Amino acid sequence: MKGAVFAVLTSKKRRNSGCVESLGHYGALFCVPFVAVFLIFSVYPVVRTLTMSFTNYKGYGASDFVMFDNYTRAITDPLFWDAFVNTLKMWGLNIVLQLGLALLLTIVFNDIKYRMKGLSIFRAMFYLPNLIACTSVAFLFKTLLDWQYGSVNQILLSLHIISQPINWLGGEGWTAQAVVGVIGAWMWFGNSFIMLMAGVQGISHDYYEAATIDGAGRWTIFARITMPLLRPIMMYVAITSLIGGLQLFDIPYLISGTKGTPGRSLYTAVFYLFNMAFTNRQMGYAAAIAFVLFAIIAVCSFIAFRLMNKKED
Amino acid sequence: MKKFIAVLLAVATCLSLTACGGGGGTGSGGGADDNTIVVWTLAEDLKDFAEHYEEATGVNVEVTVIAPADYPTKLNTSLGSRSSEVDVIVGEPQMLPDFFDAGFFADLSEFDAAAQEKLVDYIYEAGKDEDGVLRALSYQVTPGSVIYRRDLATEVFGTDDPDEIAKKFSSYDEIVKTAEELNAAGYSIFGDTGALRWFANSEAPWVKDGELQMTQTRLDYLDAAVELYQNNYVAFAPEWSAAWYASMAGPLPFNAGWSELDEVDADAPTTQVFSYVMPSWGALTIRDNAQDNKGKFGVCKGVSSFFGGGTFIGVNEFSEKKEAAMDFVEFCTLNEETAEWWIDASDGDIVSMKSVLEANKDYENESFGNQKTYAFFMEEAENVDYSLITRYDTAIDTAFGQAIEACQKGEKDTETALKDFYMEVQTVYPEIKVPEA
Repeated sequence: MKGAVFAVLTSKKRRNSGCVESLGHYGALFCVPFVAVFLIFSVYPVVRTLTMSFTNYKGYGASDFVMFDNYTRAITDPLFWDAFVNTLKMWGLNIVLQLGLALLLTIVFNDIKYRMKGLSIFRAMFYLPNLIACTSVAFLFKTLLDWQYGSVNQILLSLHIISQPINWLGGEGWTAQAVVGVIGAWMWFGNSFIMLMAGVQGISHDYYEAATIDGAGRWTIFARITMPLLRPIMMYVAITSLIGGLQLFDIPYLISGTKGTPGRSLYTAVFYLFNMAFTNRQMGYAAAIAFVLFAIIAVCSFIAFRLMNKKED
Repeated sequence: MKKFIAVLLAVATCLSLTACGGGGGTGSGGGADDNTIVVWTLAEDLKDFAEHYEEATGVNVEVTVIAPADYPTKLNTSLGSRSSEVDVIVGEPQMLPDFFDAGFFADLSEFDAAAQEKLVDYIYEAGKDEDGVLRALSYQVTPGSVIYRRDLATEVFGTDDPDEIAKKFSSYDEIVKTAEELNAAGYSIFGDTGALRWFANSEAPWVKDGELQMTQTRLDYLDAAVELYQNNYVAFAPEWSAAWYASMAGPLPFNAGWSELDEVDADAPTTQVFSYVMPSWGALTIRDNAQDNKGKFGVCKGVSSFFGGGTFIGVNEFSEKKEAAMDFVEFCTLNEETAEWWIDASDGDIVSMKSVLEANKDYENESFGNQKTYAFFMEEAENVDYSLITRYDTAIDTAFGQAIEACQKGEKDTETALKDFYMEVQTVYPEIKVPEA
């Protein structure tokens, strides 16, 4: 099809000028929409945020250039670092559960002995939470985990697992953080599962057959063949999760009713940035926080890539 | 022919995209003709004012109502680029200093003398910027009160007289004692402890001369809020929750929180809420939700006079129809006939014009057992001290509320909560000097 289109274009061009090479400007023209959108919606906001981070801009009116004051303030801001630690706690639980569950399911679905059926159905089911809007997910869990009338406490009480209802989202801060971690894992484990399945299916069956002939057990095969060959995919999932996880905002924001409560436990770094920009109207400082976060994510990603390459070597 | 069709399609696409961009709200300034002024507002009220203005003058008014949470961002984005798409803009008192600083509100000095003469003092003060230039005016005053159940007052205290009940709310200590009495009778003093916050800023502004003011009143507020919470003296029905609305009409489940009432266990213990602390618009909320309790309420003074909210109207500095916009603002805020009309149209809102307040002081409010609520609110409005308001109030009130919540739940002792509160204020506003914890 592409060839046919090209042929038409070239034949027309030949008729007009007889010069095929001059068609190159069509390529440039085709790129214009993307480049224009990219410059307006990606490059300009980044450059604008960077310049804003060196000012005391409030979101309106004039502003003064303040050099690196906003960056110094961000680095010494205890509330920002509290929020950052909260983010790490929630992401930490999320990634352990997400990868653990995805790996477990990958092992089950690839087990030669069990030969599980209905993979495509399960894959779709596992991926489904990822397709639900965050607002719906937050509302769903808020309703299920309501400490007085939520289904989770009702079930636990009726099964005599607990004697008093647990205030999941309003009591101790760590329960709310754990809930956010679990929600993240529930939403994303399907995605990781698909990645890991693709990774496992890319491993040659020759290795497994050879290992089986040599008398290796299932655990040995998993530990010595599957895991090492799956490591790059797992690192990829972990890094993309880290990049997304450090930008955690929507679920804590919605589940805490936009307040970051109980205490400040659901305040994440991006939540803090958002409040600084749109509640406290300190756009310059919020922009600096954004770049500090960018630097942290870039460093973490660099370290992770180096580690991954080292293992591969 | 093909070229013609292609051009036609391209033009049609551009037009449809343009049409998409122009949508939103009840009208947009982009398409407004010369005889139309465009209003962006937070309150539905201005739709009624617009209709009334159209009838009186024949000038078209397009009103777009924007949610309060989105309003500052929308105004900043649009007027930050000096847009003239809107002619009349509004703000609540806590938003005004920032909007004035940004230069969004045009000079209304030509109304200065009339506003000073006709309007309640705090409205006139609130509408001026730091240099004393008048930039916004309001058609309403929003003084606060304690709204209480007369039937429960008679049962528990033997009287429903507003002056006697006011004594029960004269200080935070008295409020705690009153709560104890009501609790012994099986009632809750408030829906939740948030009701106490209205009186907390009566002694000094949060920030004075660059320093955070932690007054005795604020410390008393903290203590009272903790005591009421920990002794279950309130119903745990937060303001604006379904249970809170339901409490105006009768018994409600104790500790319903934010749950919908049909989710609450039918066998849960019940209570009745004795009182509500709200600005004057709260009287309309009571009227709309009291059902069979209509007529059983009274209003009285609390710990101190206060006010909350209110819509201030001004003119976009970048508007190309400033004259017309100013005429609209004058019509809404400085016209006696409009003020009289608004009392009827709103079914009892408290207007800002002194002469109209005076003329209606004998108005008897049916929802409040025919109490003369206008006379009461008029007096309270005169007591409001606008110098207690600062641009930092919303953020600092939120942080102080979180400190109180931590004490209530036993997560922190008072000393630690205050220390963390000072740290938060200092972090968010490095320019403010905080007390040493």
